[in-house]
Parts: sequence; structure tokens; C-alpha cells
Amino acid sequence: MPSNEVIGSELVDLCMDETQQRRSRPIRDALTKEECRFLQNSIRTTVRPPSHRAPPSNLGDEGHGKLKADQWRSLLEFDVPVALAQLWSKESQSETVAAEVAERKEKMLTATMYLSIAIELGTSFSTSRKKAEQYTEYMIKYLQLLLHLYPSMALTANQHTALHVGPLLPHFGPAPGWWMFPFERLIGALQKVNHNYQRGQHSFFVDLLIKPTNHLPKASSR
Amino acid sequence: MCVIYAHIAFEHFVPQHSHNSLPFGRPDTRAQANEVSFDDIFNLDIEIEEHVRAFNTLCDNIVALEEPSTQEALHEHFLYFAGKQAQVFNFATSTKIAARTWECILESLAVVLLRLHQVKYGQRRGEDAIVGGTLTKILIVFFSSNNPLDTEFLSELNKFDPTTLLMSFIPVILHDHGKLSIKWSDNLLKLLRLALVSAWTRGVEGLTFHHQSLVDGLPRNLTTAQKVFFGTGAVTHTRAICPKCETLFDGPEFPARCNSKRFPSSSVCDEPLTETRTYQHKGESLSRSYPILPLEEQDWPSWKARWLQQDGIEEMLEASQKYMAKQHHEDILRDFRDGDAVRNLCGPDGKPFFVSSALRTAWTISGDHFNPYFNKLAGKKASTGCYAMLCISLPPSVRYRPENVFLITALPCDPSVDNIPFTLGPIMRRINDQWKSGVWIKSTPCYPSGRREQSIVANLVTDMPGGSKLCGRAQHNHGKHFCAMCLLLKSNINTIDPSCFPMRSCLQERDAAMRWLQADSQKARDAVFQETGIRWSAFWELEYWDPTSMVVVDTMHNLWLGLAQHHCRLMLGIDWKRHNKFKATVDSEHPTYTGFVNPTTTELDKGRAKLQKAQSETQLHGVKKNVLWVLSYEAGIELTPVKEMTVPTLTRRLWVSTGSL
Repeated sequence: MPSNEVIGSELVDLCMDETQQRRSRPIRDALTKEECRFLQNSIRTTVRPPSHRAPPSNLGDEGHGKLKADQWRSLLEFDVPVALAQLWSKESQSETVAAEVAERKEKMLTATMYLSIAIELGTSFSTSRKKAEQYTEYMIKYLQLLLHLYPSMALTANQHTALHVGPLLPHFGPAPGWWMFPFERLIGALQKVNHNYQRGQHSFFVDLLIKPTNHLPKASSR
Repeated sequence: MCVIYAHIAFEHFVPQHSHNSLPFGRPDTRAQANEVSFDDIFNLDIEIEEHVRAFNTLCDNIVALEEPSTQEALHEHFLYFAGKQAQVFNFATSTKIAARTWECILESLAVVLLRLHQVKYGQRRGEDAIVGGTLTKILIVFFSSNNPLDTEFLSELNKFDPTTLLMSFIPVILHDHGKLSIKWSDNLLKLLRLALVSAWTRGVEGLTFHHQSLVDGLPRNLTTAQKVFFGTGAVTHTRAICPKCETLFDGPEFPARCNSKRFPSSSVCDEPLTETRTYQHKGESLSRSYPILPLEEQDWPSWKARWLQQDGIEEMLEASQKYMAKQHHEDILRDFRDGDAVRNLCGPDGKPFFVSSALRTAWTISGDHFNPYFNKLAGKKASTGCYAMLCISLPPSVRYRPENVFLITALPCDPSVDNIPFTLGPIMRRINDQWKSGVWIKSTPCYPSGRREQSIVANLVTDMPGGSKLCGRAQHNHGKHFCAMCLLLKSNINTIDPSCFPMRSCLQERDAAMRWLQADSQKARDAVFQETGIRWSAFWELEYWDPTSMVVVDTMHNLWLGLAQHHCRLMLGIDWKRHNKFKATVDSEHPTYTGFVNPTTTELDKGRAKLQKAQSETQLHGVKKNVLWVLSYEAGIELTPVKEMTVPTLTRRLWVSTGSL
């Protein structure tokens, strides 16, 4: 009969193993170089409406710098799902690829689609209770599939927090009413205001504060 | 048309053409602005040329100038002309063709100056008013945000002589958009003054008394020049922040040294708050004390009083107050004002907030930190906090206009997590007053005899780290409470069923925060924080504050910069450093998140030699990370993501593993 101690130590070992595994998260489903080129090519050849800001066409290479939130949006709303669907769907995969690999890739494509749908629902310009429920549903599906593909993976804080967005939608209305874009733009404007580099000085803050809001008419106050 | 372009030209906030066409201020503004092509600009130039010619013909006929119809035609031409210039100007600034911009601006100024000269010193004095009026209108087109015939602004400008207006306009615009420094703008003013005086003294009449008084009235430095056009109504208060304990002191008089005490038993901070500076004024040497770390806070009540004077704002606010007082029955939600959040807000009397005879508005607040040094001093620790508010009672089409954004303050420092409640506390208390008693506005467009206005903060919008800091919650890397929205423990992070999340409760959070605040030493506070993951937050100064229903997850940071980026880069491996790097020596099967430049063979050989010869671990110091990485790989050490493998870790592991061989 194993004593309690033994069970305890086994558990500890198990946990240790898990944390060890969590540290290294291999990318087994990474795009190959050819697939990356295909994605780049499809970004380059896509004709999009002017309101859609294109991701850099040399995506994945060096030198395009950090992508803007808007570019990630374009990427996941359109470019990546469309390119992946052409590469990894059941019909398009060549028979030379091992069945196991093909199945895995198709699952990854499904995960990408789930995420794309969830983000679309979460950031839509109009929302409803049903849409909010659908958002949560697809986000759970996405995370489930990720955990199925990488059982040892630990979710990030962001992935967890995304599950809290659903209930906020009926509470606050569509996400554009409470996202950070207007405030980020304000910061962008403030960063461009000319100043004298002396943070301790009065004029620095007056410059930052008053100039952008000085369009208001003069009025009798209280 | 002028209306639309007017507020683009001098707009600091929203670089987009028409707010109405993009209701929520979507981020794709650059693409919209680029729809104006170079061909369009060329055509515009031709159009402008024609208008200038027509204008000149009109002006040449001096007899007809007396007629009101001609005057009107003149004004129209000028407004059109200035509006178009603004369009060209906007296009040029959005795509950074500075030279072309300046040509346009200076061209328009030259035309005005020429007219001014002809009329004033050439033929007839009677046309003074026309030119003055036209000039004022151009300036209005440039400076006034939403209404080119803004009467308040017009009467303000009419107080000045056209010459003064122009002389102030040039340095102000060069400073604002041409990045001309304050010092050089001042010098420019001096030169302009010299040019005027020399031109007049050589004239037929010489430097008359009228000229002399004009010269005396010219602004002497940039600040005075700016006052001609703006900064007329904004009220700011200077506060002092203690550089050491980061407590905020309300003015106008400050103690010489910080007298704040964090705990009853601790000693007084005693850091100098102010410094004395001497300056020369009219030959006298004067001294005054200034806060060492000043904070400028904009006065909200007086800002609101000015803000309500704008055309149509009060009507819109009234309409949405009525709308938000009623329940929303439709299934589809199109705006913040349709949600439950605004309907659950309570007034100081305990009734729904929007049911009142006073004007009641809801706001959303945000705080974020940025580097104020034009990104030139990367890496150096400089951070300015930007705290701003948006009025969500306004319809989305006007909500994001620059004139409707209230910038509370630009925080000159980045207070630590323990200090931030004491820095923002007094500011939040004043915001709370606006909910409790509100502000009595002497006269508004709808109520000339005055009315009361009350404001409530409906939610806090920030990114995750900033939000946790402002709300006094543990950061995402806290060992236990990693989530700002629920109490899930870090060990259970893979739970993905939202119904299993233990939710936070407002009362519990408040209790924990109170415990933190009332603790009598820093140690005790840290202990409370370790246990509950909660600190005191300045937002508790708002009596209606409920962090469980007023704090949001920002979708921009969370979904796009967070999940989308994570999925593309880590799950799909679209990473710009992966393909080109680290392949020659290590097979591509090996997982690596962020690679680096491959070491050359000579570098590797040197590293190997060093490792063989090394007698102690310290002798391995100085070996580059990429060399260490390859050596570790060769030694069969399990390599985790590069981020976690710092140089000391790599060195230690390499030393231990080769030492044991």
C-alpha cells in the first residue's frame, strides 16, 4: 500500500514536470519559408479598401518594425485566414504530406478561424447579447483547440483576460465606445507638440495642456 | 467646405478629414487622408490661382469696393482660398512634404500682405476694414475649430490691428507646425518688428504716431503672440509634487519642504518642494519660489463652462440625457449610451443619475504614460502621464473631436505603485465634487439665466498594466492574482470556462484597499498586498466607484496587440527573426522564439577555446550571447526561449555542464 507521502511526492514531481514543459513552448505548426512567402505574396497582391491598412508586404522578414494594432487587425481579419485556408485546408494539401501533419495543420487553421471570428464579434460596431455570447463561445473554442494542440502550454494573462470581454459587451455597448484608440491618438498628438525639453518647467505642461484644447470659445465661467 | 477643413488645419488631435464619415474614429485615418492624390493637389493649385486672380481684379476696382456685394464676393473668395490652402496644408502635413506646405502658407500670407500694403499705404484708408475683416476671417478659418463664423472669436480678433495679427500669426504657425524653437520664434518676432519699422521710416509719411503705437503693440515674444489666438480661456492650476514621496500638494502656496507622513509613526518626508529663482524685471532683480516638480492641472468646471458655449453641444447633451434616462429595449446595441452601464449609474441622491432637472453628463477617463522627448531618448527613463476624459453623452460623431476631449493633466513623473494613490488622490477628489455638487454655470445657450451641471465617470479605459496600477490591483505577473478582472489563481490559468471564474466583489475589494491604507507600516501594507493583491487606489475617492463594473478590458490592446499578435507570431511562427537566423549551426527544427545573428566560425572557435581553457566561471564572462547559445546547444543543454535565457543563466549552465563532463 502506498502511503500518503508517496502520492504527495508523485504529485509534486508531476507538477514539476508540467512547469518544466510549460517553459519551452515549441512552435510545431510554424509556417515554412515557402508558406511565409505565399502569405507575403497574397498581402502584396490584395486590393483593399482605403480604410483597410495593409500589413507590411515583407511580413516576417526583418526591417518592417513593430506592427500597429490596426495592422494586426487587417492581418487577422483577412490576410492570415485567407492565406492559410489556401495552404492548409483539407482540399488544398498535397497527398505527399503525412496524414498526421495534415490533420494538425487543418486544426491550426480552424483555430485561426475561431480567433478571427471571435475578434470580429468582439470589436464589431454594433453588438447584442447574442453576439456577446457568440464571442465567448468562439473564444473558448479557440483556447480549447490551442490547449488540445499544445497540452503542456500555459495560457497567457492576455488569453485569460480575453474571456472577460464577453460580459462587457452588453454592459458597455460595442467595443469602439470604450477602446483605447482615441486616447492613444491623443498621446500621439501630445508627443508631437513642441516643447523645451525641460520637464520641470511651467511652459512644458502649458504647451501640452492648453494648445490642443485652445479651440474652445471664451466664456463666462461660474 | 471651409467648415470641414477649418478644424483640420490646426487640429492637434484627430488627423482625419471629416469626423462624420468615420463615426468611431477608427484607426484607419491615414489611409483616408491619402485619398487626395498629387493630381488633386495640382488641380487645387490651379483653382486657387484662379481665385487669387479674381480676387485681385475685384480689389483693383477701388470704387466698387465700397459696395457690400463686392465686399461679400471678396470674403467668399478669401474663405474659399484659405479653405483650399488648409486642404493642401493638411495633405502636406499628413505626408510630410514640408517644403510644399510652406510655399502655400507663405503664398497666402504674401497675398494678404500685399493687399494690406496697397490699401493701407497706397490709395485709400477706407478699405482698412475690408482687409482687416478678410484677414480675421482667414485666421478664423485656420484657428477656429468648428465654426468659421464663430462670433466670440471674431470679436476677440477684431480687437487687434491686422498688422498685429499677421505679425503674431507668422511665428505661431512656424512654431506649431514648422518646429521652430521658442528662442528662434522670439528672434523672428524681433526681426519682423525691425522690418516693419525700417519700411515705415523710409515711407513718404515717415514713422507716424499711429505706426509707433502699432509697433509698441506688437507681441514681444512667442507666448504673447500665442495669446492673440488662443489660450484665452483655459484655466490651469499649478500644483507641486514631492520628488521623493510623490505626494501632490494643492496650491497656490506651497510649503518649502514636504510635510507629508505616510504612516502615523513614520517621520516627515522633508524633501524640498520649491526652489527660488531670481529674474530681472525692468531693471529690478526679483525672486520667486517655484515648485521643483510642478503639475499643471486644467480646471474642469471652467473648461465645461467654455465647452458648453459651443454650437449645439448643450442640445445634444440634453437629448442624450433624456435617452439614457429611459430603458433601452432594442436587442441591438450601437453605442455606449445603449448599454446597461449608463443606466446603472446613480446620482448623489441615490436615484438614477440621468433623471434630473440639472444637466447631467457621463464621462470616460483614461490614463497612459508616454515618452515626451519625441522618442529621441529611447531607453532613458522619462515618462509623462496623460490623463484625459471623453464625454460619452455626446454622439460618437462629435465625441472624439479635439475640442471635446478634456485633458486633465500631464503628469511630470511616473509614480510608483505605492505612491500613485497619493499623487492622483486630490485630482480624483475634485472629480468627485463634480458628481456630488456639480458646477453652476452662469449662462448656457439654452438657459441664459444659468443652470447646474453634474458629471460622473462611467468607466476607466486603460491597457492592462496601467489599469492594474491605477486600480491598485496586482499586475499580470503577480504570483497569485494575475487577472485584473477576477480572482482566478495563476496555478489555474488554463481554466477556460468563464462560469468557473471567481468574480471580484466591490465590497471585498474596498475592504482590502482600506486595510492597505490603514496599515501602519510599509511592511504591513506589503503583507496586505501579498495576501489580497489589492492596494489603495485614488479612484476610491469617487464615492460611486465600483471597480467591478467600471473597469474595462481594452480590446485594442487585448485582442489585437495581444491575441492577434500572439497567435501570428508564436502560434503560426510569423516572426521576422526566425527564418534568416540561427540556421547554419542549429537545425531549424529546434524551437526558438526570438533568434539573433549567427556567430561567425571564428567567433565560435574563440568561444570553444575559451571554454576549454577556462578555470573558473568568471573566465567565461565577455562571451557573446549568440556564441553561448550555440555552445550550449552543442553541449546538449535544454534551451528554453531566448527571453528567459539571460547571459548569466547561459554561462552558469554551460559551466556546470562542461565542468561535470
